[in-house]
Amino acid sequence: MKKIIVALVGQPNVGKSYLANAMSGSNLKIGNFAGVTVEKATAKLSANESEIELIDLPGLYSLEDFSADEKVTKDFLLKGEYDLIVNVVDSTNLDRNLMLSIQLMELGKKMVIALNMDDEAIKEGIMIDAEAMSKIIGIPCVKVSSKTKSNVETLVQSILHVSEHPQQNAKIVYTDHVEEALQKIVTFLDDKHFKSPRMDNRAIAIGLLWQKKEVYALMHDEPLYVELHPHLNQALGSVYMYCECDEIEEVIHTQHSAFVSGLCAEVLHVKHSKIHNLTQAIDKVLIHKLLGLPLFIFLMWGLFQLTFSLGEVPMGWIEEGFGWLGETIGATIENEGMKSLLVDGIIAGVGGVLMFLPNIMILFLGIALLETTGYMARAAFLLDGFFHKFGLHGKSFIPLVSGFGCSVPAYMAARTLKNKKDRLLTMFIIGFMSCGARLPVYVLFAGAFFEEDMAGNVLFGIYISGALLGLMAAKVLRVTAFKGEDEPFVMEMPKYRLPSLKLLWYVVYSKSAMYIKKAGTFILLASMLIWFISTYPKNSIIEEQYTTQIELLQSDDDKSVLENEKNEKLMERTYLGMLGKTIEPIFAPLGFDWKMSVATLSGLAAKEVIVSTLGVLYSLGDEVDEENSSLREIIASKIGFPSAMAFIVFVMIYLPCLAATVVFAREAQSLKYTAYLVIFTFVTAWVLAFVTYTVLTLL
Amino acid sequence: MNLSHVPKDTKVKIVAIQAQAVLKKRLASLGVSVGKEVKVLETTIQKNTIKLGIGLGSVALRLDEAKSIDVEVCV
Ligand SMILES: Nc1nc2c(ncn2[C@@H]2O[C@H](COP(=O)(O)OP(=O)(O)OP(=O)(O)O)[C@@H](O)[C@H]2O)c(=O)[nH]1
Ligand SMILES: [Mg+2]
Repeated sequence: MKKIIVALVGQPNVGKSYLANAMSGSNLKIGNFAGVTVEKATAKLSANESEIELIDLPGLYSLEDFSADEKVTKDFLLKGEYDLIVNVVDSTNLDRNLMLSIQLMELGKKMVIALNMDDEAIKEGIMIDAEAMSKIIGIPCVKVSSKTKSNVETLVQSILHVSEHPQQNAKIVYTDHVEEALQKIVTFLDDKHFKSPRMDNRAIAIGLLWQKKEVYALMHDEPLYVELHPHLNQALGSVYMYCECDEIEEVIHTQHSAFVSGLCAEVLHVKHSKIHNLTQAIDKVLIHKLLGLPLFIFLMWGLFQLTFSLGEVPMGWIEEGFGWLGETIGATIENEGMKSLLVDGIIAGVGGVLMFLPNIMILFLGIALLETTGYMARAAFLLDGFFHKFGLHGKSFIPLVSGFGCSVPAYMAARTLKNKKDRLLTMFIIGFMSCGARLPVYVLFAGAFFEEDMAGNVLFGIYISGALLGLMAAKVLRVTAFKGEDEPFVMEMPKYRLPSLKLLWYVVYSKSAMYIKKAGTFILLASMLIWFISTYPKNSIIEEQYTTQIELLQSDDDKSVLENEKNEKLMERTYLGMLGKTIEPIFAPLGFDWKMSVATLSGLAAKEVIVSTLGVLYSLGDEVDEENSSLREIIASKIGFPSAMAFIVFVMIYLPCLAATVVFAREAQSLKYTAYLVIFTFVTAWVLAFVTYTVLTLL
Repeated sequence: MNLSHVPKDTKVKIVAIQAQAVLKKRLASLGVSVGKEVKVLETTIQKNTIKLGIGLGSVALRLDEAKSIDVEVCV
């Protein structure tokens, strides 16, 4: 089977990923803001005996180097292996998009233009004559809609057609004097019988005249370069003279704009634009001078309220379900060790984590709505002034929001920041945005220590104070480690779009599936491990001592007190107990007992493990107390309020999990910064938890 | 007059952009270039950031960047 590699290239937010999904049935991430895709991804489909491999690339505004994600695309275009480019264009913003198309056409590669969002264009009264356009520029242009999948099949056929036929040169017409200068260079190359495998001679001439580094690098090693040089100088000289300007960038821009306006005049007809007005009308409220920020805060507050209160109900069911399961299994199994492994290890650990699935689902639905409606860019707009004061860039908002889901994609999303320092700074404080995996810890503690109607507010408070701490940390880092120039803030504001239910469902479904999978594999193993090292080695001397003592006692109350004491003593002598006792001094000033200390450490593997560890440890030590069966109740009775708050503060700040730290190291490309991150987060977490504990104890 | 002084909802035409090459390029690729007609649609409370309407789309800018864009009022 023939394999055709297609590079999907276009400006940000034009629907490249959506188009790849529509063509191949893949599930690439889609969002309504610039910079959703930050890493190249592939999707495959087969058509007419050929296999088409689509390479979805980050969007880029122009081929000039800008941010790290755009560089991914440019590098791929210049160095990667592919057969043709599919330039995805937003039909509702044709003139701007065509500025990139021309640059792509100048690369001299096989190309197809996909005029995407045709459904929106029709609604907005925008008509594009695709046939005329194809004729003028010599490249097939196909109107498609990723949303309705209309014409997607035609696009596939065009791709096949172009890939099977020899390359047709794109027809860009420059002004006469530029054409003349180009022709001279081409004639020279032709006369010398020069041929490059990568580009044809006209493309080389354009690249040389436009002073593209890559093309120079290509030609520089050729022996004929010496002879070429004077011709080139002459050509440039005449272009500068005629254009009355001495900067090639400006010449290029004027040439391109002229061609694009000419082209648009021929093929684009706009009747009316109601939809456009709708977006402006919504913006009048959502980014209103006075209302904008309060509305934003209200929406966030609402999200956390819902996360807690809506999640509460199914959470209760899941908790009861696991409780019932534990009892049933406990009653049927004879072997004490086996029973404890199943009930105190697996069910307490995995159940403790799965219980929070509803909360996780609501949180991710909220984030998905933020990402797909177009509100994200508005929030960045509203917060830029505020962020700027703390030395952050408005665009930092986007990776920071992803950070509420998971730090791993958030570190990658920071690529959209152009300036290296802005990017590193943002990455340093992403950890302050509590990720979804920490949500279970917060819900557990908020539920245990606060009234039900307050818990939602507490949850919101935790997230907000985390974010505020992050901003303060940013300020500190900005004036110390990451001094530097302010980066300009220029950002596209996409129109509002209603996300399809299918898309939202998919996001929530896939996140939930991932969570369940993690609970069933990683958390399961971790719980078994924790159970094992907190049960063995068995200490028979203590066991016997207490058993004889308990037998001597009369009252049941005294018995249960002693029974609990026995369990505590036993656990302290296990491997984990010994480890816990060793690290306890570090955490003692924060009011943590050894179990909390161990849970904190285990959270480094994954934040959900904190909950499963607490689940295992507290259920192991608590076999007698029948009334306080739920983990929440046990925790409320065993942990003091100041310690609990200090624990929340610590979890809020300290290092995101190991996986995230590895991604940080990869994205920052520096071990030094990774070490800083580890030290920075641990020290801050410890100090602030200490302050919290001390203040609350004094009160 | 530069863009930072333009009142809301007034249509103006860009006559010059005095910014570094990188910023100029970025602005141009978002459709903000000499000769284009734009409108300030929205500003934040302290007027730190403005929303600019160009053609059918809109772009957010900081006031600092707006200062480098010279405009004249369209008649
Ligand atoms: N109505 C309509 N909306 C579309 C269409 N194609 C894309 N969209 C929407 O446009 C937005 C951007 O889509 P993406 O596929 O994420 O865009 P992208 O080009 O991959 O963006 P980056 O990865 O940021 O460069 C999303 O909100 C999509 O729902 C279309 O054909 N019709
Ligand atoms: Mg994408």
